[in-house]
Amino acid sequence: MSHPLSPPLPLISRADRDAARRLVESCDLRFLENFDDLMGIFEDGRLVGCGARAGRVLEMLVVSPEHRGGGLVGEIVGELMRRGCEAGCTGFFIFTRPCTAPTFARLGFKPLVEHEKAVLLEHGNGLLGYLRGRAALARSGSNGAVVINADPFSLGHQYLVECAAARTDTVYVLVPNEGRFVLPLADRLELARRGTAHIPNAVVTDAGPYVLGPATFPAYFLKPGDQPDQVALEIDADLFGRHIAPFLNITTRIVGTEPLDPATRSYNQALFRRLSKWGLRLVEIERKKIGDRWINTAHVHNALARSDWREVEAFVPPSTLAFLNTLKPGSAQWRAAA
Amino acid sequence: MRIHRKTQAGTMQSSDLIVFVEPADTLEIDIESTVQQQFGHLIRERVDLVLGRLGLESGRIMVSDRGALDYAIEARVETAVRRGGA
Repeated sequence: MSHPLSPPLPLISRADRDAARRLVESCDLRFLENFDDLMGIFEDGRLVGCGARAGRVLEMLVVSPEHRGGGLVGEIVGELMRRGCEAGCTGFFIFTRPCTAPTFARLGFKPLVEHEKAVLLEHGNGLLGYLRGRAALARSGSNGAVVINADPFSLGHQYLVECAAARTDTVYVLVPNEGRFVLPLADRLELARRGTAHIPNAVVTDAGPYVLGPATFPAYFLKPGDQPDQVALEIDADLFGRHIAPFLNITTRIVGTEPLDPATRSYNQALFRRLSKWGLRLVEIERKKIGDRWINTAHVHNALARSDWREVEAFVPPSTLAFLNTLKPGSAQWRAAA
Repeated sequence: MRIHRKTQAGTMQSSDLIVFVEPADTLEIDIESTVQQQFGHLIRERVDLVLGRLGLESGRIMVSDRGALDYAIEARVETAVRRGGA
């Protein structure tokens, strides 16, 4: 006699979460602690399927071998999306092995990037909507792109955009929407616009979740010191090369050299490995220094946390300084960032 | 009627559909279906019919269909709109 299956249930107790960990690890996947929802399906008290949502990314979707093909993963995905929708998410991503990608394609997820080791799929027409919304920004010519967090927009960012603008017809300044940032997207975009107002061929726009987003670069959301996942970095590069670059006639990606942060350096290396597959060039510009110090966002945050305004002033253009002055000096927001 | 909160209705099961709704300035309808080629236009007609009957003026309606029949499409669209609208 077969036992009935439970509907997808939240896994909250230590015992249930440990069972999920064992199930996930039995399929050679990593159990990631950083989720918003973790659901599971039980048969007679035994966990036979599970899945989690971290923001808009659905992950750890695993069904025990004897229950595969029974619609369990669809139930779990459906429930995770329902909860995600209630939590305010629009559109969902799945990062999965190539062998399981067809399962999600059948559930209505579209493959955005098909890497040798993983496939990135999206539910809903998010990428299409993102590109269509920027159709008016597309210009002909030999264009370039820089990706900067603008958190806040610094002299280093400005120098990079100036170098890129000199080498391209139009340079697109892409600001990632999501990540461990201090400033909200609207502020970062505004600072980038003000800081590049003197560059006529620069176009600032947000990158949506499609560059350095949680789907393409989950490592960006790990704590400092954690090693980024090489495959995720390459998938970010592939998404850029396959979808974004052609739409905006981008032939060159320009980055600053990264002397300090291993995650950024890994990212630049991944770009270097993958962009040529899409017919794109990577140009590395030597990062700007002030005196003998490199300009990077961490330094600015550090200076702000110490209320060292003379130091801050050395690292940011006047437009950014004017904005930062409107924030309370030494506020909790900046101390938390240090 | 306008959509004033983000919500959804439906499941991922075969022959069902999920309808996501969220607030928007205008009325936007986005449909994807496992049978897009054969029935995409019929699905759109049915969605338009229901939204017309409910008098929906604005909102973003996103339908992810897995081969649902017309009465199921009506039911899920109406449920999502009523949940999210006023």
